[in-house]
Amino acid sequence: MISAVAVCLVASMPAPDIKVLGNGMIVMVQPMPEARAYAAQLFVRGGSAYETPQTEGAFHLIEHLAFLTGPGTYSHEAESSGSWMNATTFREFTRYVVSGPAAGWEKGLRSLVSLALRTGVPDAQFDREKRVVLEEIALQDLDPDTSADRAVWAAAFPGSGWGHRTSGGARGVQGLSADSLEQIRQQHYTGTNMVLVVTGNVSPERVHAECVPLGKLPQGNRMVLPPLPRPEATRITADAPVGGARIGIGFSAGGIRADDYSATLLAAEVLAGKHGLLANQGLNARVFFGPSEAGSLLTIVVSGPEDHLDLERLVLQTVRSAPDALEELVLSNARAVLRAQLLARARSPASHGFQLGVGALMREVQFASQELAHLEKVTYCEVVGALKRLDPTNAIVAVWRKP
Amino acid sequence: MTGLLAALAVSPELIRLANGIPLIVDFREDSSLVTLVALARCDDQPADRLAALEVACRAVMRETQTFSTQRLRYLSWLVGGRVEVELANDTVRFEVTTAPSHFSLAATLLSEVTQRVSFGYASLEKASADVARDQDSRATMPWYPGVREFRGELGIGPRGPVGLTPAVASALWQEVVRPERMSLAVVGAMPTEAVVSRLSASFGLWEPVPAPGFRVPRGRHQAEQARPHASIMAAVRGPNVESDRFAAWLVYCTSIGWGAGSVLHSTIRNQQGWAYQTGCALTLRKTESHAIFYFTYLKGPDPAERRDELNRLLRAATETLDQASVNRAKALLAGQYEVSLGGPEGIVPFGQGHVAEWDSAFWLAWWELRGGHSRDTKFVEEIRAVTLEQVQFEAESAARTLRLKVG
Repeated sequence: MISAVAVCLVASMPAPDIKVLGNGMIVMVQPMPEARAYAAQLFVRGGSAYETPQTEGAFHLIEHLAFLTGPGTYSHEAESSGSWMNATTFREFTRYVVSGPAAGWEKGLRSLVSLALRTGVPDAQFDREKRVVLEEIALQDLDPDTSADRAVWAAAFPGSGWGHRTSGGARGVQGLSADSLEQIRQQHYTGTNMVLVVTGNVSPERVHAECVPLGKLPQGNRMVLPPLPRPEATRITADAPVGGARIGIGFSAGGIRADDYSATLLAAEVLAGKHGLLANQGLNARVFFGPSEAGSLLTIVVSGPEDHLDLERLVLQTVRSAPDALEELVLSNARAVLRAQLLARARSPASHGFQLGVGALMREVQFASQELAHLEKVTYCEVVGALKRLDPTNAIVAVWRKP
Repeated sequence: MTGLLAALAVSPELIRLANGIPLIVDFREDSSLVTLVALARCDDQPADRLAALEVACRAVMRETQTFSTQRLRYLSWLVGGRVEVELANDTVRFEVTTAPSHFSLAATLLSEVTQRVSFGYASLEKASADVARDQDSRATMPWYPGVREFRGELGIGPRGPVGLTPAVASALWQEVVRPERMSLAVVGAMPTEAVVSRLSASFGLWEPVPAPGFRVPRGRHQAEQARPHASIMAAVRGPNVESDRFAAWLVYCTSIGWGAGSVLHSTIRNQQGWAYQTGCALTLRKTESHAIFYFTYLKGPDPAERRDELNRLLRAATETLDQASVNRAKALLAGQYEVSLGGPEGIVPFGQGHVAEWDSAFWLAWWELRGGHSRDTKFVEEIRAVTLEQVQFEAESAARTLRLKVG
């Protein structure tokens, strides 16, 4: 009953108002009259997967520099209307977001539009911002779970941008020049490669009016995502750089258009959720899996009090036996957890806007509205099938010994 | 007819259960979820007890006097959704968010883990290890261990995890998790009548026995790990939440430490390029409030120079804070109080806005323990009414309580 109500709630949302500017930029507006908040998000087709060994870290540094206005930052402007601005570099895209109380949406959107229109790299701040990025990279190295996820990607795609960390490595960032960044920025920050999504209690007409200046951006050529190489089963062992023993297992998974996308999400929750099969063994598990166009890796990182050999044995045993061990109750709980997350996301302008933007960027506009319906339709047998595909013998396994 | 009256009633409504526990119900017909939150205030507890509570919270979902581990796990599976028990800064926070059809199960689960907890050696040992592991998972916030250590030194927050015996854990639980320290809030698609009827049975008849005497072992001082980052921190004191100076003090904290336009971010990050993370961590105690301003950087440069810079910035704040910076802080604070998606410390006061049912339920229950839930809706007005002079006064008062630390 709840699932039917939930699907209706999401489906009852009016379709987003979509306009394509003369330069190819997509502007989507999703009115959410009940929302107290708004979110404006700019998606740029460009992230670490597009990088070469020579440009490692370029997209993340461009993202940082985009905020700087000289004496202050666009974030500072947005805060004066009660909004908050941030950005994240992913493998396939970069996302800038400003969100806040609905009353402040026009000022927030104006800050984001100004950020999108800015050109050039501010010389005076270039080296200083590099230092800030290096500080950020050093922080990321401290997180054992995300470090294990990165180790899996690096082992799966050596020598490819897909294997790069999204923020770049310290050496790569130090070697970047302002000129090379500007060249990359000019290729990717163009109308054809951008999507702007505004969600919340906003007027579509007024949003479109505010976005008119974005039509001045050059059209550019649509950037083509480098193909995702098929990873080979690999096992790497290393001393944990931080934290205790950990096992990271990366499985090949499809992108958002894959037939088994929702079943894979459920299988991951069944295995690694708070009440999942790994938690039942007293292990702590985290899943890394995001929407992707080209396909992806689903990484499960597991830690526990055991040494690495016992941990690996326990994890592999649990993953292998999962298709046979799956009980209806466990599946029903996993579905309830994901349903609650999706429902909360559908009512949050920032989260819903993110799904809309990712869908539009990946040419799958229905992604956000159909995700919940797909989740409800997945059958027990399909989840068993997805669990069977998470076969450790075909996976990339990173084993971290406790030093 | 009763249903109509309930629908006409002002939402949120305050109801007192038979044993005095305040229950606030915010019925939202358009919601598809319901959140039940129970808070027990612990803002008067010393640091060692907070450390023990942190461990006890991690152990409560293992077993109760009624349910074995398997049965309790089965119950949480049935409930589905979010099930959380944690030490949330100044309260012990219990939350279940689920479908309205599962509300009764949620009430059963919450009454079990508040009133009939059974602690075992094995579950406490695992909980203690989990608390230590949590510190690992917060590793990308190198300010966190420093701030935690500083809070421990100041006696306002837990230090390293403690090893607890079942007897001590039970006694501590009885001391803190009891009706006179608690409030309940329900937000979502559950009519008031149904909530009151169900929770009266689960919580209204609860008459706890007095807690036996106990002594919590001292928190382990975790050995200073070879961390690659240094944290420069400054702690200041301010008025407690119930004080009419509190809103101005919070605006002062925001001006200095929160957001891209704050003094720390604009100076330490944008002008100096010294740090990626700058910020402010709050601890709201019963008698006073504390803020720890911080920034972190890769070890190497002389920390004394950076500590002196933080000292200078805070002492000069009375002069440097102007109308524009106070306006920014007020707008940011008011805006994020409404709609923030949450900060690094999880669901804690002033860590998130009122976006989801669980956010609103937390705020209603939290304010109820601090003078009344109606302040939740008035607080934005309190922020907007703060003047530059009031913020300067708080800056001056705070500078007199300043304590610096390099971690």
